[in-house]
Amino acid sequence: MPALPFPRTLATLLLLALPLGFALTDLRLLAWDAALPVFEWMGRSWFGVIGKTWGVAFALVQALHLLSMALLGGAVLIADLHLLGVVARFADSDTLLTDLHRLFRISLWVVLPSGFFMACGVSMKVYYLPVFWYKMLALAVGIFFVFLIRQPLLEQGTAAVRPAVLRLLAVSSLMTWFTVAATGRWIGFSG
Amino acid sequence: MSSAAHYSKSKDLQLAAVIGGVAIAAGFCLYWYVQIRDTLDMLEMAYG
Repeated sequence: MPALPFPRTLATLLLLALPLGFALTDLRLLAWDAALPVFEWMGRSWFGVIGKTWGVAFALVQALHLLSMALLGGAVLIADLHLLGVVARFADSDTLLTDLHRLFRISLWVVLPSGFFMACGVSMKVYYLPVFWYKMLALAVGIFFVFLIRQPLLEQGTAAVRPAVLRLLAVSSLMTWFTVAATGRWIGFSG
Repeated sequence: MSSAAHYSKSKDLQLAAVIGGVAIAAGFCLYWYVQIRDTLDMLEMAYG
């Protein structure tokens, strides 16, 4: 038995309280100011210089980023629509969800470094774009939600979880990754 | 691990999922409501 009765619930409440406190105080602006040297360094780094100088390098990495996002989005969509009872209704849920989570993990390992490379190439543009920070927030929420709550819960077997909770998991997961994808395209669309 | 401890973990995770899920849904609705409202306001200013 853990030392605290509901460790995951308490961790979730803490993870919700921290960004709320951050957003509602001046800490947000202080952190934004403090992040400027990091973004300036990103622009001066090898990745930043390559991304800004050789369009072909940026395009190739962006293609890799978009394809791995497609893979990640596909894994999320199939898993969540399966949990909602829309696709693969007769498949073995636990096997399907385990396979899709593996695909999700692999694609995330491509998405993160390729996204970092791209951010280096346009570091000052994204630093001043509010939508970039919302994308990072949605991405962090998505990653925390998957690895701290969703997957540990699904690993117990879908039969052990209330159907309403499974549906809530699916809907909230779709909302998170929809926001990550939409804000990502918004960054691309912004000057 | 006893079945009582296993049940407790499952209950903990389900409670965390409900809290996290509701918070995500609330954040999603709030964010996109504000974005769509701002876009409609800009359209109204531009075209009356």
